[in-house]
Amino acid sequence: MGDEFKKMRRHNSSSLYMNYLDKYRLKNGADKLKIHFNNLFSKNKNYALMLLNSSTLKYPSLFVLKDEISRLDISNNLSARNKSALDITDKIFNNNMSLIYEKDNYDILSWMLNTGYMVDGLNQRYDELLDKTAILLIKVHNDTNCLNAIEHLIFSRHRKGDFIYDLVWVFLESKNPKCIDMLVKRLLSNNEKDILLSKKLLDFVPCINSESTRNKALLYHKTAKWVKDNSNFIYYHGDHFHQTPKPSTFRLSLENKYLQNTTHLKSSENKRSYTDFEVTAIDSFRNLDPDSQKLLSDYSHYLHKHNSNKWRSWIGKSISEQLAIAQSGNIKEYNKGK
Amino acid sequence: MININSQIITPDVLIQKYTLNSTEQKIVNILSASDHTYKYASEDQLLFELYLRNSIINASVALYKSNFSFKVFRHSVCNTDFWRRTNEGGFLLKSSVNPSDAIKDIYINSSLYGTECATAMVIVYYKALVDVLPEKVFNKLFSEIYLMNWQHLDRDIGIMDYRYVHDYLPGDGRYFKNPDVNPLTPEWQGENVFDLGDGIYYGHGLGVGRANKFIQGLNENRIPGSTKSAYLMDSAKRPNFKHLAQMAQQLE
Repeated sequence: MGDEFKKMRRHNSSSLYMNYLDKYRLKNGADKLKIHFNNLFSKNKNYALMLLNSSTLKYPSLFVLKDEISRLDISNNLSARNKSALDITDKIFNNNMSLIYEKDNYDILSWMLNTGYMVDGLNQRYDELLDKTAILLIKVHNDTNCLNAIEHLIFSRHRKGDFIYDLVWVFLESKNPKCIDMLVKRLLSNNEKDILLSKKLLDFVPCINSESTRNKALLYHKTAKWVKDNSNFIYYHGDHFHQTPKPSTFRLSLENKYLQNTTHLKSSENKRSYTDFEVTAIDSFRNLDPDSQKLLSDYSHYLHKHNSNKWRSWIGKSISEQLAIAQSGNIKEYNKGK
Repeated sequence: MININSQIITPDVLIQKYTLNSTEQKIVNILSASDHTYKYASEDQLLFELYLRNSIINASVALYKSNFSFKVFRHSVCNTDFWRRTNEGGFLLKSSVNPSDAIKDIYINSSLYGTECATAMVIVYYKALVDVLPEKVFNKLFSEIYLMNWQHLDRDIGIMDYRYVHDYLPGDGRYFKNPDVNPLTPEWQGENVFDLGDGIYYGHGLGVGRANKFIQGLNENRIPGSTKSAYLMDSAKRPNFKHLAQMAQQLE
């Protein structure tokens, strides 16, 4: 509750703008809100309905009062937003397929998650509902505005040892570069568990396991630099925690880094198709051992960035010549620049 | 081919040790016929792998035949005499009980347990090891067990997911992926299975059958209108058989 209160204070600069029912719930808890709402309703029905239908109401209060609304038989007196939100809530609990087709649910789903995520942990059903809301926003509505809320949920749950796997899955399934940036920022967290989770999800970054979590500033700096430097060649791979012990959430396309061809993060497809020359080059490249592939892709990227004329000349040579040059003194120059 | 202590071994001698068409015989035949050289330091090392692979299959079939139910992590259940259910839906071994007894209980009182396929895989590995290792060794090696998913499998099991393998072997862990899963049922985003040999797999939730059974089962849980089918991934999960053989020998 504390987190929600602080966030609301931050957004509104004063709790004066907070809906009375939300304020009461934050102060006294969900069960007392139900009793209080009943009292309010019995004394002044219109006032109780006005508070409930207020545009400032947060979804958790509506969720808490769901059974009271039904018991008092006031569903028909609800605002369109509240009616839709409760309808969606029921549909989510019943896995109702219409949620996949109804594209006009977006605003309500977004309201439910964005005003509701700070109350995560209210109860098992509520948490499950938040997960499904997040999944619908990303998978059905292609929403990326909810990524911050989902990221917050993942890390706060992980600290408490709560269930994170569906949220982690859908967060990554958004295939959005913002996800990588958010994970990188978590490396600066003061919470050790945040850093461990972030490192697990950023396992595709070569330096991620080489630095102690104590050197978090250094770890962050190196990781952020690597991600920025390789952003054109990172693609979503789609491994998840339930699938494999060391999931490759994202991967680096060494082939495209070698040819300096951008990879689409979402589809892993190349930005431009290969020329005949590149097709031959890739065949030779694929026959190399992993260390040589890494050396060539790193060297190619470095040379392309610093001297495109030299790069053009180098990439036109045979693969053995390229390797010889990369292995020669020039790589010292490259390593210095790393 | 099979190479034991730098010597190529013909399958005949090994095959004689096992009954006709046994899992062990099938594995020896696959290893021997392969272009890849499977290296072992000793015959015992190979025999241990055959023994454990067979045990994985037996533990899979026994779990399938039990009353162990499918439940999503949020609603997972366990026998609280042996396990504490964690907030994320995993089962943590109670410190007051024997690890081997707790694993056996899942098979004895199976109706008290229910969870997803990832935990079922983990349970199968532990049960296979309970059946293969002396009880004392098992309890010493695995004194702290957390049944959840691959992330929490004991390090001594040394599970690895190999992106490419030369041959698929009975006892391998495989994965059917459902890239277009229905967002309302994310639990069907894929199915962890064990290769039981002869093209048959076991996966908790979908049961025992050929690949098409799992693909069909997952396809039924796709987002409406999807044309992207579920598929069996190339990778294979294997415990570190050699390390486990060594640990078993050392601790005995």
